[in-house]
Amino acid sequence: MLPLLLGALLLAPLYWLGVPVRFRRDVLALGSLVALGIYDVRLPPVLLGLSLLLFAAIRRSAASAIPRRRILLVSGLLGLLALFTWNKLAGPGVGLLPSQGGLVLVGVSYLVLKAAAVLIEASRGSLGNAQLRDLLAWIVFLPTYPSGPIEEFEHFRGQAPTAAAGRVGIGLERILFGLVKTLIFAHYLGVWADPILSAPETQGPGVLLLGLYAFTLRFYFDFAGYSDIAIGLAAVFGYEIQENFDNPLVRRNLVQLWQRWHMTLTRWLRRYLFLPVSRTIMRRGGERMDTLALVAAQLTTMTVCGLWHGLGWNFVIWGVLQGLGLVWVGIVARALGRHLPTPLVSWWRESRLGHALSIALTFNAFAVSTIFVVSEVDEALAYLGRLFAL
Amino acid sequence: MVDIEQFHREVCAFLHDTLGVQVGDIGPDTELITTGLLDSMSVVRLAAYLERRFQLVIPDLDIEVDHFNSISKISSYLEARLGS
Repeated sequence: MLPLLLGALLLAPLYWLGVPVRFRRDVLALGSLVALGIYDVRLPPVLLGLSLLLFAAIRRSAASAIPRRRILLVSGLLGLLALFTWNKLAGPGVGLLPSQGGLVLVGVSYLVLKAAAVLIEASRGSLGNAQLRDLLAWIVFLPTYPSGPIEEFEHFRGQAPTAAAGRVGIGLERILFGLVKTLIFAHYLGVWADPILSAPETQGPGVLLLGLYAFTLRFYFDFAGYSDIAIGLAAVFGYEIQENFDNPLVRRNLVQLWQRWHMTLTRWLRRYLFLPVSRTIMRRGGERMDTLALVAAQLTTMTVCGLWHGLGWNFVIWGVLQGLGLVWVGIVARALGRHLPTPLVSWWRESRLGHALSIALTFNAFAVSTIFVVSEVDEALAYLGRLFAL
Repeated sequence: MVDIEQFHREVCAFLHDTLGVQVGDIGPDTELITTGLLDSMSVVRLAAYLERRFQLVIPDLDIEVDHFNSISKISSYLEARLGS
């Protein structure tokens, strides 16, 4: 993708000097399609076709009664699920990080979430009058297409690409930060961690733990770096894209970590999965089901989050572990806190040592769980066995 | 109309008794979500409590920071909903 980034930056002066404001969105859409076509010739027809189908479904939904809207929604979501599954399973190999391959068509995991969001909003009647040119420009928008952030349609279409003072400079600076994170930090952490993760039988527990720390940091720098590049490139072309990471690895618990890790994904999951599932169970089950509803919704949401990253049992386990961690923080620890001595709770919440310990515990819990991101279940269990000297 | 003082007491009691939130310093405009006092699970429980208490349905779309980030925002939201 680096040549595409360089090409886009070289064309930016022409865009600002030669394209009238009212045509900029269309020119960006066309440029994005051409760029994606250079990368993979199959992408433009797929994206054009999907945009047209999506537009037709939104229009049909707006003109339909609620039962028909639901049929359209379910049909659309099943179609997107099929596309997502095919893209993950039919690819040449596993690719988790944004800088890795392994998919049939790059960007489809993000595309599917964006398309599902507008289908759901259309079904709810909250999308308003969507224009095809806005939809197409949003779907194919080059900066966010390959690896997010998962920009919301409403946020995108409300913007006019005008040259706000300093925005281009800030965008270039952000791209530079992103390149440093991805090409230097993530790369060298990978160089160091990969031999440990691929041959753990030769290492002791201390090195195995450091290997997981290194992979977790690599995971972060790679994703966050790509997000920086996307946000920066969008700014160079006059768009403000939603933020995706906010120092998630220095947070006091898993809830805070997940509120700041891949934020556009967690917002999507909260809005379209966690809220509907939890509230449906609560309404049907009554007050006595409240806690159970939250546990079920949290586990469902994070399991889906795991499966979105990869279709395998290791990702299911990773997702369930995240869900259990969130339930621990959000329900169990809250309840326990009420039964502990107040001075102890206050010390944990307010002292510097309590602060540092909680950050360290959270990072360690998250880092250890990432073994299920990099390894199949049996390999991950063997790694953990050696790590804890079992 | 929602009596803001009475409502403040009720919500604080719920936050403390059900969610285990330390409510000593919470005022009407204290930010509940953006400061991390409430997470997604707590906000959903609070919404369920409000639905039962005020006999109304709060759409998923409305469970956002704009409406739930402080007791005064929740109060304004409920006033708008109950008055409409």
